[in-house]
Amino acid sequence: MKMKLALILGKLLYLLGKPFGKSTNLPGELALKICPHLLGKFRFDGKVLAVTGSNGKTSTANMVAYILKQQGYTVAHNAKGSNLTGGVATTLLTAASLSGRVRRDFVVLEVDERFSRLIFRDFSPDALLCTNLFRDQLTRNGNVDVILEKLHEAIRPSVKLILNGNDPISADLAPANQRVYYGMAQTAQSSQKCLNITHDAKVCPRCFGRMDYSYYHYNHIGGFRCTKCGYTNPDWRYTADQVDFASGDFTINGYRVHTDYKDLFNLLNITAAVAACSELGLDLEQCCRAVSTFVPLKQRYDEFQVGDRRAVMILSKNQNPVSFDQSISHLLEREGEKTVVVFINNINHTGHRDTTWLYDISFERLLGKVNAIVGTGPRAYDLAVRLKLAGFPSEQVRIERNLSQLKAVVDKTRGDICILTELYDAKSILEVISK
Amino acid sequence: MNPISILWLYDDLLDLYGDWGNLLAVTKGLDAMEIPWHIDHKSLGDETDFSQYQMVYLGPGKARNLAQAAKDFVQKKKQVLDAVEQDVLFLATGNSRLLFGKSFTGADGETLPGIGLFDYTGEETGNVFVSDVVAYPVFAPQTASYGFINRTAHIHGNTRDPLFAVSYGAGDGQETPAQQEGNLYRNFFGTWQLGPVLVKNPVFLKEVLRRLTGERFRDWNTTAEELALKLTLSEILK
Repeated sequence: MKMKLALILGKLLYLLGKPFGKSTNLPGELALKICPHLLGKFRFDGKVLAVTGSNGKTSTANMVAYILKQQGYTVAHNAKGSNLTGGVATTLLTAASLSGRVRRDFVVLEVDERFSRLIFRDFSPDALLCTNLFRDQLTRNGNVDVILEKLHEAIRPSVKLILNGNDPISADLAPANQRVYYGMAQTAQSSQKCLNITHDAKVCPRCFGRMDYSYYHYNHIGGFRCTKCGYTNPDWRYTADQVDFASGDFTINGYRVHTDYKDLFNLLNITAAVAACSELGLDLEQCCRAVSTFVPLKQRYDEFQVGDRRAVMILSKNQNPVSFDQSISHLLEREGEKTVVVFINNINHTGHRDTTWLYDISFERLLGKVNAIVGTGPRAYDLAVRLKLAGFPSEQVRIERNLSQLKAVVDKTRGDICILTELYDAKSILEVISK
Repeated sequence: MNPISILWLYDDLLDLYGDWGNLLAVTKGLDAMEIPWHIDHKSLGDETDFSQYQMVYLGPGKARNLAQAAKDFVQKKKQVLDAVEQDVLFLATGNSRLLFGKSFTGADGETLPGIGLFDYTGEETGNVFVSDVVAYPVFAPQTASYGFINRTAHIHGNTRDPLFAVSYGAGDGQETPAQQEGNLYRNFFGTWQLGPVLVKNPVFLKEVLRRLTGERFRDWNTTAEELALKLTLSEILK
């Protein structure tokens, strides 16, 4: 009875909230208040895949859902990144009948790794894809070990794992569970030395021996071997290879894939999505063909025009240095003159003034590659200090804390406008710049 | 000119959160004074002659990593204590402070011995606790500093040689407003504040460099750092 009431009211709230953009979390939260074990009461006609990890889970889950839909399957999916308990509940209750039956061929759930043990308290996915594990929002998450612990509590023995064989940390997740790996061979853009400051696997996650890398794709993702216990990249079933960065073509197990978003982390995300779909029973070649037509969400990456200048907005996760490093990688791919605009806020969810995370971002990679960097937001002067220590000449760094005055400063710069900011601050900066 | 030798101890294990910024600040300061420097990295099992270094840095780490470091560090107890008495400059940020107390108890209940430079003991809580901190260092009691605490442990019984008088936020002990925080003994600086605490506080950085360089110390321009600090403090203390 409680369940039926939760479903009815949740569906109603979803319909009422939709025109106002309040339909992603609230319906699920309300339903869970009425029926706290609602998530355990759904019955699924199809397989359930969960996608988690520190970075790339939204893009990867979106790609998985896209491939499945391209093959004609029906999919329930929390597409807007509503990956906490309420968002997952909303996705399921809107897809379910009043009896709680989810009549979809597949359910694809992006799941926040921190909330995984709560989300999977009452039900379990058939398979779980973990893209990677990095330091991420330490004020909320604690460190990688804390996240690993939470994931271990969430993953039941029956769950099949799809794991990144280039990541020594997440590759070792729940070692007793059945698993398949995907990975990417060394590419022309992989490096012998780690180009990033953030490197969370300098020591072996198994025995604490020093790790030796034969190549890095980015941060601690690459070809690794522990000098003490020999822990090394596992054999992977799905291999990304033959990357042609000029055309955006590469192969997965020999099948051609194309993407316009050619960063190494995205190639790995594509490989992850294809691997997951193949493990769900789809034809590998069809998956490769389908993912080649995928276009990333404009919410995370958007190109537009500001007067006669091209502009691009690349969003990062809050206080997530690896995500910010990826944004830097992406803008370095762009040719021509560019000005980088960076909005630095306080810690979003707590208001603390800490800017420690700026010292985990490799701003040094922008040296000599940009015309100017414009810093804005409450902690803009902390960014100025970070850039000074990185070696940027003072004339290349402009600071305007006040967002309302930013446009005038940016107008005095040259080249493409590349906006790097966090998700939550995107709207306010976009309003100012695109005036 | 003799270079300043710096040791980043357990750089591979204890590297949690922007801690590299402290060495960046120190080396940029040395560059400004045109004093050469070099940084060595040592970790588990490495032979370490502390008398070769003018500065030793330890940052915070994950609980499992800290436990490994503790088992190695306690074997270096005599050399470290001798180095402290011989005025080698130590900077220990975040939970690496736990290595310098009597002992600390991890989340799994295992108690690991520290080197006993101080009488305090530590205890892992397993809960993430964060706090902005405004505090006055004992070497510049009129100068407010800003720091950030992000920890899953606390310290009991730290009764001597405080580094900071706290005016806002948490310090040693429980997760409540505190009177004092950290330790300064000879040239040993220890604080719960983590990340680039020397970048955030130019007065702290200059005190460290003054002690490190002696007569070779020359002041340099830190206007940008001072402005960033002033804005942060004005927001917290308004």
